[in-house]
Amino acid sequence: MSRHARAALKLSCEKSGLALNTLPKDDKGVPLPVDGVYWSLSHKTAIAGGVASPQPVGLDLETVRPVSRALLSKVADEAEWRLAGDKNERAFFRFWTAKEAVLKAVGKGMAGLSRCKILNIFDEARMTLTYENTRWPVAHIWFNGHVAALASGQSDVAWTIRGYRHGRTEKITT
Amino acid sequence: MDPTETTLYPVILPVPDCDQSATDGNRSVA
Repeated sequence: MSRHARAALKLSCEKSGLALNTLPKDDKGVPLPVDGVYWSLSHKTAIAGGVASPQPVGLDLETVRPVSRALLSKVADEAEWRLAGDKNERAFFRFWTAKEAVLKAVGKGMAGLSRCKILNIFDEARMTLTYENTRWPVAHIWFNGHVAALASGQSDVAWTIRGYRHGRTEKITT
Repeated sequence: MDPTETTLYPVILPVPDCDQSATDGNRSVA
């Protein structure tokens, strides 16, 4: 578990007024809530993230980079791609992070990918997915070639991104 | 408190160039 992701989670707890004294996982590595506080971490080469929430939550980060056409088709079916408009890397990583965030929120691995579907795309920052008949709002934010996705039942998201453009906080109501 | 009215505060931090070995086991798309 990355110390940078844990530092991000600690900062998220401070901003949220939530406490996490331990970060337990089950035998499959799925984060377990502590006293009703759910948490999610993500770590890539250049960035790390964390979030705490009173409801199930999933966070995923990716760095946008070239992907094969075969991979484009793997992440979503044709009906989902029609929602995106353009079948390109940006849309791929948006779909990928959204689905990964939802699968983290429900405590499932990528084996659940085929059951996780894009339902609506509202704008660059908001979409809704479904997983086994449950709707999951997902918020996205893009910064310096990276994208972050947050899946939760809550509608108000205030991102804090440090180290880019001298640090900034962007609040997005979804 | 209605949890649907609670703001979420996700935080993203840069990882210094000298410390790229750590991982949370996140899956790769590659």
